[in-house]
Amino acid sequence: MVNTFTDRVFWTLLIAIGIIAAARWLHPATFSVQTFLVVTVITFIVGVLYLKKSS
Amino acid sequence: MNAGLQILITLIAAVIITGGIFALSLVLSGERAYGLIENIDGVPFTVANEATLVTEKLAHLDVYLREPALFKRLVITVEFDPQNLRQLDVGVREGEFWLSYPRHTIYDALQHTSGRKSITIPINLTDKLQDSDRSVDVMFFAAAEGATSKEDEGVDDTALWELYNFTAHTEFTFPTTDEMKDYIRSVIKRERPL
Repeated sequence: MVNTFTDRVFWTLLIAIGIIAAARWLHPATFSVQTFLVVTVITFIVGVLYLKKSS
Repeated sequence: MNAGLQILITLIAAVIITGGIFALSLVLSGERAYGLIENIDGVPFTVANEATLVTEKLAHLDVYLREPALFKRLVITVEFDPQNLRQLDVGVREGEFWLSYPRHTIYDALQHTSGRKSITIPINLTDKLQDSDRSVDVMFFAAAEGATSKEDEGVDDTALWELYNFTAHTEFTFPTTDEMKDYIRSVIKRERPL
């Protein structure tokens, strides 16, 4: 069964990564590489939790 | 809850998260690190005793910010001895063209006394060009007695001044409307240092 809260957090973070990547493409100084990596790692962890709970 | 509303809530949450991270970075301030002072070919100037001997008209260094330039000003303090200069200006690069620095005079032989002095000057950063590593380029423009208007005088360059100390820190400030327009234009046009 899909955990709806984890599901939403995962998709929210995934979209946030997309926004940060787009902002960096337009203007690299807008977000630092570290910010991008931190959000990516958190998304990865939430994604693993989401997959575990949904399986 | 229908699927469309869920997608909308997820999108809004993502925008709020990224907006929040960006807003947090705007309130950062404090002293910032800087690189070596170099000539326009990237060769560092000689350090003798406690001072850097600047022997060319143009000298630049990078100041490494930890935040976007938006809503920021750079307060730089320069401790120097003008030696044979009649004028010393400083500027932060604002555009793609390599020599696009609005100049701020920090020494004028007609107005200031000679000898070692310390000058502090604030420079708004919102409309300035920030590199991908978040650094901004600070350039010193020295005009010696009898110097021409050429950027590079080669072996005829007689400029000589001594840099004893340099500090740079960032502060929050509200940009002018023109500075905001420049910032938005630079984002849309994806301006990069050439």
